[in-house]
Amino acid sequence: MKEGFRQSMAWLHTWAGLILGWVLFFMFVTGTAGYFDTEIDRWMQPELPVAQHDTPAVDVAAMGVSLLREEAPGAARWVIAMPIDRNDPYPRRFWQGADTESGAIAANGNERFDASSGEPFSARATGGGQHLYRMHWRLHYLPRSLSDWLIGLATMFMLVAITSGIIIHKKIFKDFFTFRPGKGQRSWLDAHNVLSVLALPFHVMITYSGLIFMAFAYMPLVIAATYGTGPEARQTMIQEVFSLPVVERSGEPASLTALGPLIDTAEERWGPGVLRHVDIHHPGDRNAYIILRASHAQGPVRSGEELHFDGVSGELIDTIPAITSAPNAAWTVLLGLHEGLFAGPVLRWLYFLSGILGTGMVGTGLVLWTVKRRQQAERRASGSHRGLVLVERLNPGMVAGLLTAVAAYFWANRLLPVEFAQREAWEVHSMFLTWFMLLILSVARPPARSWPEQFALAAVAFALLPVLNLFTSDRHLGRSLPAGDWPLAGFDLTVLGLGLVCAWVSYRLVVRQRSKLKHRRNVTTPTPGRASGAESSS
Amino acid sequence: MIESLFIISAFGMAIAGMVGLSLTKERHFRLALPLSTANTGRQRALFWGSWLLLLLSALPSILGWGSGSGLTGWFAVLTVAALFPVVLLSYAPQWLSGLGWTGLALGLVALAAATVSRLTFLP
Repeated sequence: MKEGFRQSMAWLHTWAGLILGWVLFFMFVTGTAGYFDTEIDRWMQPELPVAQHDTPAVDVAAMGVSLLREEAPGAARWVIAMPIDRNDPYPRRFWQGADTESGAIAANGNERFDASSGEPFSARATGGGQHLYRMHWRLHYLPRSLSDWLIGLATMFMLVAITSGIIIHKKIFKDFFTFRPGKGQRSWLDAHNVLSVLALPFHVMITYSGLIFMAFAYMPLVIAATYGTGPEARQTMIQEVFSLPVVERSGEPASLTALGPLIDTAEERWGPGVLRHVDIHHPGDRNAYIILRASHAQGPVRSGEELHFDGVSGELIDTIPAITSAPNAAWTVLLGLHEGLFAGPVLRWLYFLSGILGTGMVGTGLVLWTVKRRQQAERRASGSHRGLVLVERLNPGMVAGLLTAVAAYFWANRLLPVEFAQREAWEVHSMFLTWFMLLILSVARPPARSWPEQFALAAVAFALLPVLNLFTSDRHLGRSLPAGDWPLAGFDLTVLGLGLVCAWVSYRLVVRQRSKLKHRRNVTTPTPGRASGAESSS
Repeated sequence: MIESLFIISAFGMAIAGMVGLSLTKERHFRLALPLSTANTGRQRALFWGSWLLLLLSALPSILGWGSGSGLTGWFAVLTVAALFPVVLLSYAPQWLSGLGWTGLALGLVALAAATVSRLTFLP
């Protein structure tokens, strides 16, 4: 082996980093936004009332059942989801396998409803924060089989990049707090190291758990080895892994037990505000079966205890603990940590901040890639090769352009007419069209101009969102702040903050560019030629 | 309220610990305290004291957030706390030692206040 272990790791780190860096940057941006998914939902449907967390579970369940009796008679399953925390601002009812011949409005359905009136909400159609969040693992415009593998490869490379990054970082403890601004490549490397090392626990957790999420997609043979490959195999596996109860419909009608006492039992056991689902299998049948599920957001363990009742007598049949086995515990904890559903306001902000640090880590990594190669190219004086120039020109659009594109997603939500057909789809199209146009713009401009321009655009696009909100809804800051409507106010203030950060970045880039030009002019006047300039910057 | 006090305490202690740890590096020490001279014994005390503070900050994290979320929160607190010396060393190193002492004071006062109120209001 000619090169040392560290050098070969450096090579791996660089190439793995660039090739999937853009995918990872997209994943980090949309995934970070996902930590505020339901808050973004609220902003994108400003017609909706404030969250209905305080409604007693008994009332919500009664309302849900009376709606489901009307809409979904003969269903195989009714589920009523309680609005217990920020993950679910409103109650929701969900049904499967209803009988449309005996009056059901649809075979399957999933609708939110007002906790007190039972009315469905009417609000503009939108993909909301959910769609933005979904993109971080589902991407867009790609078939699932392809996106799964692309995401998996990117995540795997992230794990490789983290591991090889730690190995090549020679002074991980000595340079733990070191950031030296205004020194070109040195500064970018410092920033990249600091962002990576300080949030290392988050980066490792998010990457590893990200892989675990899709374990069944990436390792189908594990399932095949135990369960076979037939069409039933997957179902059996899911049945066993997630221990779903199997109940058959008897065909004999019987009236459903009153839910009140069941809910009382659950609340006595768990306390108020923990009951998450009332899951009724075969309502109206003699074999009706009711599962009350506790919140899966009480801690990093993304799973809650279940109480199983006979749906006719109301007798408690079984209690399923939140954790059924050690592998099951590891699985739920990893997924729980990744999603952070349990996080309250402070922890949620810390998650968001960690996500931003991760975004910065990938972003600085992408910049570093070009900065390093540019210096080598200038030193060799053989001119810059085409690949480098392309990456240099694409990067501003890939990084800052994506931020503007996300803002465009929000702009589209407010600017597309409410009655516009396929609104949801066009919100996303607006995002990707914006990104695409910014990429073209980015390639057309020299990088030194492109970076500050792209960040200035992102700054304007974000900072003006509260103004857009002022003109297109009555839940602007003037109303949301006095009313203490934090999801709405928080969104406006956060995008304003992001806008200011982008503006600051743009300003700093302009200042640095100017001083660099001045510096170069001063250096090159007495001794013309490139070599002196390159030396002074290294 | 009591929970918030514990979390504030965790941040205070972690920031103090991170500042202390950064000052054990000679380069940072010279930047932050140009008039003082580093003395080996004191530096060693600072090193172990800072580590102790960082580890101790897990306690108010867990008391504030509960055991599961507390450990998650503790890692996040350490990450955020470490950003303070990084930024200050680059842009305002003269504030670093002041921030360290403030963090330490805030951490201990908030911890004491939270502990006292928890004991008082315990049913």
